[in-house]
Amino acid sequence: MKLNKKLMVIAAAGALTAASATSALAFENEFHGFYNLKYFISNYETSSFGFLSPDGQSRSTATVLNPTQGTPVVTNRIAPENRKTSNYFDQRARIFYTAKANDDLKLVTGFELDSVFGDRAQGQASRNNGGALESDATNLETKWVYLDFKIPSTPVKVTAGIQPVKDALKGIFLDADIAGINTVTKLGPATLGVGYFRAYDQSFFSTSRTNRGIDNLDIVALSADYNINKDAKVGVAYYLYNDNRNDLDINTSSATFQAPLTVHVFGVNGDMRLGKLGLSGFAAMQQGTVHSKNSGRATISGYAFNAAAKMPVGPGTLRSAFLYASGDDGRDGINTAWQSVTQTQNGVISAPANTYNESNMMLLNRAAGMEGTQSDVNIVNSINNRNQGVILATIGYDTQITPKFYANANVGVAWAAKNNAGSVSTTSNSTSSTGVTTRTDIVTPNRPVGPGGFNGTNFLGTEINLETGYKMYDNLTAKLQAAYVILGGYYAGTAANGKDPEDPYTARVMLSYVF
Amino acid sequence: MKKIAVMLLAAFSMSVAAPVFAAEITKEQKDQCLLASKNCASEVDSIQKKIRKLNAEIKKGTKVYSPDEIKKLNDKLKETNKFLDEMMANP
Repeated sequence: MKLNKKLMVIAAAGALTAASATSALAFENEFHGFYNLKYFISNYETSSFGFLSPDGQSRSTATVLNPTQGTPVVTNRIAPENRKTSNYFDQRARIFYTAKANDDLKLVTGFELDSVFGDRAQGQASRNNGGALESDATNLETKWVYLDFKIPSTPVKVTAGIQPVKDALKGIFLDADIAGINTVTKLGPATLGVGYFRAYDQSFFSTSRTNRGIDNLDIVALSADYNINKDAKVGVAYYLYNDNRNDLDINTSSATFQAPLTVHVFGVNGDMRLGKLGLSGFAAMQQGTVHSKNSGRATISGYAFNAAAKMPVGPGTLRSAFLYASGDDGRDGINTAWQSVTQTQNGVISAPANTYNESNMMLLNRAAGMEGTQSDVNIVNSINNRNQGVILATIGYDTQITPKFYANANVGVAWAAKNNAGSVSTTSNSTSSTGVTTRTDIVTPNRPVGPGGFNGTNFLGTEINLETGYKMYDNLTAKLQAAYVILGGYYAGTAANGKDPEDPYTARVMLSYVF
Repeated sequence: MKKIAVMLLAAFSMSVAAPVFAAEITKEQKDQCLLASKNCASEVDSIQKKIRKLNAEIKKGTKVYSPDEIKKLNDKLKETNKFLDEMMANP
């Protein structure tokens, strides 16, 4: 009996000690994030997203992976010629907490708080605002929640939950936060990726469907990369975009949304280093079909390719990149435009879910690395560019002038791969059972439609931009960004009374705290 | 019996309390955490510091680390850089 009691006490004390020791060793808590405050002076930008449109307006509607979307919603209708200058303070904070049990198991969470000084507060506020007097807004957004773990005794790493996903095509198809399960398997020099993501489940909106998981927008991502040696890597990738939200098509009498829609994306990519020269690029094609109950069948057949180079020159690094994404003129039943993923919650076409950061443009295209707050207005806001595609050539130079001071400059030139703006005749091109695709961009012409379309040329414009930064502390950098776009022939005579719209510009003073 | 239990519990309490004692400042030392927010017990690395530390360790090379450990450090550096990129450039 005595021995039993002793054993029990020892066991209890041992268990307590073990428990306390485990809790002390078990978790590594990581907190990271940033705070960006930007003061904008610009004639086109707003603290929202959208295209700088050919008629000199910014639109809140991006083109979607849906070849027959409806009329874009026009917002910020300011006189296109002699536009007034906006000035506003836009701030974004992101906070990331990672609960790490060990190198092979962690939970990653990310949160975001956006607001503009003076926007809305208290009961009037929601996500993306809360910067008005007395704040007190419910505006915390949950960005990521995912488990990251390795399956024991295998080389398979899994991320399950709401997570960031970027395609192997530099983001021109998909770059977004999305819920799903992704696996990455390393087998010697090869890396295999298999992922399933559910972007939307229409049963959360539909009145006629209550079963979950039937009317979905599903995305499947497969990739294989192979390291030839330490300086060269090649890869292949396949994405399936399967929008099976039939109810949207059935319930939408105006046929602005079509489903089911299936797009297959095939891509090859490579990265290599030749001495000091770094090269990268990809080539990709898309094949797809829409079988709309409301408006018939349409075929999608787009392609894109890219090449980029960088090398040290003088005191800095010279970068250059080229992107071609195909467009469509809307003249037959085949949509030849490169399709890029866009938000379409409950069939409402909204912000883009794709990027092309390599350009380092501020106004010409959506380069998220140059943004950093909710201001997201560009000439090419989505690479699909409202089914016109894009040809974009950029060159830039980065230099670290002193350990605390850096500067970089970029020049970019962009064309629409195919011009469909303004030359819209909705009656003659509406989609029918014969499979003719509706033109997607509906712009009220300010002058007669010419033989080559409403706009004179495909040339969108030339951007010149500059960014400088001074490191006030290890974590805090004060930055200045400025960009000017000389609009091309695409915009000639598109402002009121046949005049040219004003060239877009932006100047931003910025504080960036990263930890 | 009771003695043994008391001793074990005392030993347990000491082991739990030990980190607190360790962090305590002696009379002669300045509390750098209160004074300058340095050397705080709960201090965690910023992402920049983490990247710097990983680079510094990788530089030590095979004199200090085995090839497998170097590979592991390189993987961690890649993972941290990817996280930084996703944090900043994710739309």
